[in-house]
Amino acid sequence: MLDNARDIQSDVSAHSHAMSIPIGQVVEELVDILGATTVAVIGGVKETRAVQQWCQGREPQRAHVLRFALQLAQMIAGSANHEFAVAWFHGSNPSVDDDVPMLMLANRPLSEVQAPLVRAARAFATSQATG
Amino acid sequence: MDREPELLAPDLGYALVRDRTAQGSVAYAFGELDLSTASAFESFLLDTAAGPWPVVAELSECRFIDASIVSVLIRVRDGLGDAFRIVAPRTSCARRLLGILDLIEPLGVHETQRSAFAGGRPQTNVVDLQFRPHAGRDRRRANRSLSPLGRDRRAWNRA
Repeated sequence: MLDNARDIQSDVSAHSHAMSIPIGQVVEELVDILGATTVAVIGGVKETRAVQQWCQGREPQRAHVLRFALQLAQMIAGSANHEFAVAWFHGSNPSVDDDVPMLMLANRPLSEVQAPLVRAARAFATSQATG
Repeated sequence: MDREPELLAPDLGYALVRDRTAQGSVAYAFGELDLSTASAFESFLLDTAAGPWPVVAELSECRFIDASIVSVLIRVRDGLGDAFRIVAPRTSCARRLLGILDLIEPLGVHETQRSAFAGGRPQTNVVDLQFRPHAGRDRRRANRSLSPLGRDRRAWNRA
């Protein structure tokens, strides 16, 4: 029960953080956790140069996807470390029909992938917390 | 004024991202690449070659490539010569296929980006030899011609 309450708290704080900071900071934090190449894929661009431009103030075209990715990254990196977060985004995930979260975010509408990815991230965070 | 970043074409199975650095250009490929994406992949590599050289195709995160992608790699290598290098670590799908086809050395396939940028001779390893179709017949020749890993294999065989 206590673990469940802690998970919900972690979800809420990850969401609040990702939605309440400027988009440039969102991108910087995502790059810190996942690296510029992965952020470029999630942001739907072909150049890591674009990611640098986002950090310097240019508005990304898919800001809402990047904010959601930061929410997921924080849920995962909060319970594990950055290396696990990268592996989670890059790996084929049985919780989402063996799809790759990074490619789901890049190639599908956010409304379609949001719920399954949050459930998968929550399941991962819970499994890490309970050891 | 900078152009607006180019958006990826929507597709469920793959993503391509390039990174231009002082060392050269890296073309990252993620997911599954096959006949349906070969043309886009080739264009992407050729666009990447417009940046700094050498050009490195980073295939570590490719989950699948087929013969059409191998054709693309051969064509680009023919066009760019030694300035085009491939990174595919020994556990990757791409290296397995290129190993089976005996293309590790001809295509310049490296284990890491560091090795690729250093531009040395690609290292064929034990795994590659296991997948060579004529590994038994060619083993002596391969061991003679290859890298320190080849010499390790000779020592291992003697032991």
